[in-house]
Amino acid sequence: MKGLRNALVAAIALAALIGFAGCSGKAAAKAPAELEPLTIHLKWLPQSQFMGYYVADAKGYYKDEGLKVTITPCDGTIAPEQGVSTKTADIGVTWVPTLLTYQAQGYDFIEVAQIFQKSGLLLISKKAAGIDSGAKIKKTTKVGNWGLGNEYEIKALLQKNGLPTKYTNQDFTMNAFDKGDIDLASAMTYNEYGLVINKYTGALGYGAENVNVIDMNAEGVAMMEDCLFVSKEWLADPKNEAKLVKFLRASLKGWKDACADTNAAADIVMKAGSSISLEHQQFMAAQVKKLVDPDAVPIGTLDEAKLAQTLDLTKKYAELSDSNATAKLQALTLADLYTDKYLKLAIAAK
Amino acid sequence: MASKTFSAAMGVILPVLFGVAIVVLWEHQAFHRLLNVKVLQLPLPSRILSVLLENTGKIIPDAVITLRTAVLGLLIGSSIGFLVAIIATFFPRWGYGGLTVLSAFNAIPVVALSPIMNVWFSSPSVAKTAVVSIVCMVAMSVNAFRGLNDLKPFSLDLMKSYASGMGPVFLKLRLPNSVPYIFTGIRINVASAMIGAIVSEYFSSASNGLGFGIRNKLSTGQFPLGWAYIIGASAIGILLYMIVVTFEGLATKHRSN
Repeated sequence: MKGLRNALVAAIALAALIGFAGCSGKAAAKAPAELEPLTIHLKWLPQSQFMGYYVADAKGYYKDEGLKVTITPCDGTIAPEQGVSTKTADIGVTWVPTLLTYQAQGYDFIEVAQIFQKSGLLLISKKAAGIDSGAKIKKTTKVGNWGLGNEYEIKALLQKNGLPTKYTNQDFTMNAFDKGDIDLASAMTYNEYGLVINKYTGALGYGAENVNVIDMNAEGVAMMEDCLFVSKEWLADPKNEAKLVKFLRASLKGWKDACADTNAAADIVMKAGSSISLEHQQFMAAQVKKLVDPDAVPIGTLDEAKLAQTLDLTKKYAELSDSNATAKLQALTLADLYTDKYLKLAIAAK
Repeated sequence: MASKTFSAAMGVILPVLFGVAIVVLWEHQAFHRLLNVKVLQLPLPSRILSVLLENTGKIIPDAVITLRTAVLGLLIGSSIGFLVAIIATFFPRWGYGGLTVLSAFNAIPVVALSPIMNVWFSSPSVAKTAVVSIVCMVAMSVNAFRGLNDLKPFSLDLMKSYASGMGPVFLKLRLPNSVPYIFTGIRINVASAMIGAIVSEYFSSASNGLGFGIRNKLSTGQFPLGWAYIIGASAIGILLYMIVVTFEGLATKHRSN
């Protein structure tokens, strides 16, 4: 009996303690909570591909908008689409064809800004192989790609040239290309291509003159790559709408600065943590600037014609192996894909 | 007698009912509410089944590749393991110590082994088979060693009293004694071989096999198809296990205990 009473007293004391701790915890958290938290999930590791966000963060542009932005890199295990879908991230960076295939599966994603205006994907081969255009790819050519949603442009190019769409699984180094296990390797202009041609540490030092390049833009199978997307469910909250506009405004400013001085942007990215050398970050920043194309169009422009081509190509070439999803993909329109509402608000309020 | 058949029947009916209950609860989204996940993240069984049927033409060739890797690796790894056990039996002084060292291989996770084998062997299918072989080596060697050495009391003395040499002792006593132990080793290895084959496909440069399918579909958000591949993997795992159990029954039928 006494034991029971003691236990009861202890339980009440414990409950009071937890309650108290809960209150004080709340109070403590409330004091500096003027900055609103927001998480962006990148498509890959911290590198100059995403320099705009790192520059905006480092220069305090997010803070000026009242945001505390967390930049979550991706290591290939959890895709940004999954981060946004499980609400561990608010905003994601991905490629448009990948976004479309998610939309076809029933995910309520919507694109809000198009950061890259051109495709940065190349297929590269050693000069001796003599493959300098899509038409010269043979049935026996070993074509490499990373898969995981990066394969749609390659599949489109192969199908366009009447070839089977089977590709060799390429890892995230260029060793298989160097060893000759892959004849035609996928390479981003700003990353793997640099690692093959350049002579700095960590690169293979082939030199641009010894490598043939097939450019997706020239082959007519360019799909839009790095874009920003959110879920419609998240957007349904007007508070999140306001946060998104603030985020876009600060990010566009960050991208503008990053493109204006790519070396300084590379330095900032290096400080955020990087698995690659500063020279490579600088090379990447300069190449990424070409894709963002800030001199031709306002940064982030959602170009209807380019997105329409991406939508068409995805409808034509993406294999979803699931009749429901295929039907849904075919029914997708540009209005399902993106909205320029928030981008316009972000630019207008500048 | 009647009660015996009844309880035997219940032994089948209850597990089946349990399985059906899980599928029904899943179909009616009980788990979705419990775990707070969307149907997109955990597709319904009916949807998975229809996607599975739509894609048998793709899943079966992938399953054949995975099965080939698993079975070949299982055979090679088990044979090496058995050889090691024989050597350890003939040289008991350092043999058992050698086995202990070999068991350290079991501590290497497949996720580490797989990229290493990819560097050692340029052919992806050889690299995958090598992973499975290594994974299967240890369980077989340890079990076979026990089978070759845990002899019935006095049976070795009896053989000695007949003045038989090492050869006859091995062939007439140790080898027959090891049969059930070998099957235990194989049963353990069936599960390890399937895991080894599927995980090594995650890392392989060959874009085929059930493991590659699971990884690629799940990471591009194609969950119904991803689950269809998972069901394919489970099915061949169960099939392989049933084959081994059947052979085990045949091989050990005459044994009373």
